[in-house]
Amino acid sequence: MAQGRLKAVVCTSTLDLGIDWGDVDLVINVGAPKGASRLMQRIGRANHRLDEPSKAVIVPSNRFEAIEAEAALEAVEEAAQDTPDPRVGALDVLAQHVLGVACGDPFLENELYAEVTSTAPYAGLTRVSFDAVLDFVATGGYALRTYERFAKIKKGEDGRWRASTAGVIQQYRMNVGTIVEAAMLKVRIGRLKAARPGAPAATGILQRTGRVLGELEEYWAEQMTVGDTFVFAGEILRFEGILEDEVVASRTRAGTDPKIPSYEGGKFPLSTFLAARVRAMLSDPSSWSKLPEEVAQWLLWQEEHSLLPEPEGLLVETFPYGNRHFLVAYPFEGRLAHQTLGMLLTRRLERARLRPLGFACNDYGIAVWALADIGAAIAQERLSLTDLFAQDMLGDDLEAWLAETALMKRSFRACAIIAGLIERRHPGLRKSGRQVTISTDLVYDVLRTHEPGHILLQAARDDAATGLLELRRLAIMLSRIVGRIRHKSLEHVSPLAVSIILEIGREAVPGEARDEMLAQAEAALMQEALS
Amino acid sequence: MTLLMRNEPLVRRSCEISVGADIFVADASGALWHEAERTLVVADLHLEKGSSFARRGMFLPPYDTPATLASLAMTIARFAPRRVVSLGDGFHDSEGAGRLSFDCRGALRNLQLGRDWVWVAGNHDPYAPAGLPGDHALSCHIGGAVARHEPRRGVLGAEGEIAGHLHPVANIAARAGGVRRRCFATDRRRCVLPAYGAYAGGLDLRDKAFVQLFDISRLQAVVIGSSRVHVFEPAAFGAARAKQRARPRAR
Repeated sequence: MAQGRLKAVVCTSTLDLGIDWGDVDLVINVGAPKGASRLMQRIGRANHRLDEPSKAVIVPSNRFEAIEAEAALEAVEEAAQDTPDPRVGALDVLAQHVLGVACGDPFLENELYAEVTSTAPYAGLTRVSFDAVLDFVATGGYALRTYERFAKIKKGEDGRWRASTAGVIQQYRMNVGTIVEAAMLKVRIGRLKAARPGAPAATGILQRTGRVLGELEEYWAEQMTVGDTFVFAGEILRFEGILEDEVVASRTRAGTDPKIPSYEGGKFPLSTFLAARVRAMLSDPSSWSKLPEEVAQWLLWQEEHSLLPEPEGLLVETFPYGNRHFLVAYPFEGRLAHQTLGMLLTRRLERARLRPLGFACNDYGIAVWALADIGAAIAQERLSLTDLFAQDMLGDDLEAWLAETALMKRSFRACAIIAGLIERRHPGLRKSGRQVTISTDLVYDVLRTHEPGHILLQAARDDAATGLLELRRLAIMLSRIVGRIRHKSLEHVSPLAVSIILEIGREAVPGEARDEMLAQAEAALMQEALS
Repeated sequence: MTLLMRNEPLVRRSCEISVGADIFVADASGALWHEAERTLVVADLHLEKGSSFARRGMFLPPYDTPATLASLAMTIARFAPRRVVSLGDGFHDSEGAGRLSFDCRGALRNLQLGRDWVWVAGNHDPYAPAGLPGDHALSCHIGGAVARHEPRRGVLGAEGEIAGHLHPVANIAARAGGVRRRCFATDRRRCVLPAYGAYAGGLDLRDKAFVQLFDISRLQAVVIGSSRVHVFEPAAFGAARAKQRARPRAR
C-alpha cells in the first residue's frame, strides 16, 4: 500500500489512527461513523497532507445510520469532539507494570506506590489495592498461601523487591504488552471425508485439502454449526468444522443466505455525544430536511403511527408480531449498553412471569420478545415500566447475571493474560490463541467459587463495567429517564422498530441458559426421531 | 431398560450405557458406575495441576484440587462404592502427590477409607502416587470390560473397554449457537470418560482421535449439563443433517 501498488484496502477500524499514507485519494466509510472524532480521524486518512482537503463518502447501511451520519457531519463542521473521558487505571495493567519494574532495578514498595499514584489514571488507587496487586505478582495473592516457594518477585533484606530468577525476567519480556488479541482461527479449505466407504460423510474425518484463506475470530466462528455458510475472502464457504486452530470450510454456491463475519474491531458503540445529537435530531422535525427523503418519510410514518423518541426521555412500544409479544425501547446508548440492558430486562420480565424468550439490539434500541402479552400486562397495571426500568436493576439483578455470564469470562481472559496469570508465550513454546496452556474459563469458575474477592476478579469486573458491559453509561441513562418513560401500545410493528427487529437472528446472544439450550436441542432431535 | 421412556421428562441425573456385556451408569458428575461390582470409575482427575503450573510462575488459583476432591466426595457419598478406579492422570505430574496440602491429603485419604482404590497409570503420572494408599496398575477389569488410561486403537476382542485420556467434549448445535460440554463417548464396545478434574480441558468429539476409535454409526455422546445428562447422536455434535445419517447403503 505504501508503495502505491494496491488500488484499494478494505479494513476495520484498525486503520483509523496513525497511518500516514500520503496518496489515499478517498475514504469510503461503510456503515455508521459511531463518533464525531472517529469520523474526523477516518476522513483524515485521505490526502494526508497539509495543503489538500480530505475526501470521504459515508455510506449508511440503514435509516438510523443515515441520521447518525448527518449528526456526525454536523458535529465535524462545528469541530465538536467526542473523545472519550480518561479512564481509571486498570489493575491488570498495574500488575504487569509492577513485575516489569521488578525485572529492572529493585524497588521499595512505598516509593513505587507514590510513583504510581502520581499518575492521573492511578491517582485514586488505594494502598490496599496496590498491596493486593503486589501480592498477586509475587505469589498469586491467594488466601490459601501455597505458592510462597515459587514467588516471582521477592523482598530482599534491603526491603527492595526484585525478580527472583533470570527466568522470570525472560518470561516477562516474552509476554510484555497490554493488547490482547481476540483468539483467531485460520480459515482453511477442506472437507469431511467419510470414515469408511459407504459411511455417512457427515460423521467422517475433517480433512485439510486446500490453502489458508485468512482468519476469523474464535467467538464468531464458534457460533457456526456444520452446514452454515459464510462470506469470506470473496467466496461463499460452507462451515465443516473446527480442527485444532483452523476452521475447515468448503467452497459452495451462492443463494444460501450466508452469514457475514464480524470482528471486535468493528464493534465500537455509538458515542454518547453523537447519541444525544441523534435523539435531538429525531425529535425535531425541522431538522429532517437535511436527511435523505426516504429517511424523513420514515420518521413521518413513525410520528403518524406511534411517537417520536424525545431527547431526554425513553420511548417504549409494545406490539404483537409473529406469535410473539414485543417490547421495544429506544435508549440510543450503543450496542454494548443495550446488550447489558437486554440481559437485565429479560431477567425482570421472567420474574414478572411474562416468559421472555430473547432479545436483540443495535446501537439505537432494543427489542425483547415474550410469550405473554407485555402490552396487556402494562395496561392492566400488572407490569410497571417505571419499575421495569428502575435504577435498582444495577443492584441484585446485575450481580446475579454477572455471576453466570460468558461476558465476564471474556473479560477475565484478557485480565488473566495482561496480569501474567496465563502466559501467552513460554520459552521454547509457541502458543496460538486457541492453544493457551489452560482454559481461562475453567480457572474463572474455580476462582469465583473459592475466592470471589480475589484481585483479578475485581480487575475483570472493573474492565467489564467500563468495556463490555458499559455499566456507567447504562446507569446514567436509567437516571436520565426517571419519570420520562412514555409507553405506546400498538397493533403492529412500528416503523422505527423494524430496523431493530431485523437484528434478530443476526448474532446469537451469548452465554445464557446453556442447559436449557441443551435440553431443547435434545428434545428437538427426539421429536424428529419419533415422528 | 430403554434410555428414555416416551412420557419420561428429559431430566435425568444419569443414564445407563452398555459396554460389551456390561451395563454401566454414566453419571452427571462425570463418573462411571458399575452396580454389580459397586465400582466407581473417574478419569483424568489431574490433581495438583494448579501447583504444577505455579512451579513455572503461572499462579493458577490453588483451588483445583479441593474443588475436584469435593466433587468426588459427593459422588462417592451418593454411590458408596466398594472400589474406586482412578483411570490414569490422577495427578497432573509425578510429583503431584507430594504437593498435596495437608487438608487435601486428609480429604483424599478419607475418601479412600473402607474401600479398594486403584490408581491406573496415566501418561502424566506413570508411577504410583507417593505416600498414598491404593493399588497401582496399568489396567484392571470391571465386570467383563478392561479399564485402562489410553484407549487402544483397533478392533476390540469380545471384551469392552473403559478409558480416559482424551477428555471428550461435545459441541452441540442448539438454536442460539453451540454449547460446549464434557461428555462420555460410547459405541457400546468402548466408553471414553470425560475428564473429571477442575482444570482439565477438552478435545472435541469431531477430532480424528475419536473418529478413528469408534464405530461412528453407533457413537453416542452422553453430555454433562450442570446437574443432568443429555444423550446425543452424531448428527447433533458433528454432522450436517440428521436425515443423512444412519441409513446403511444397500449392497
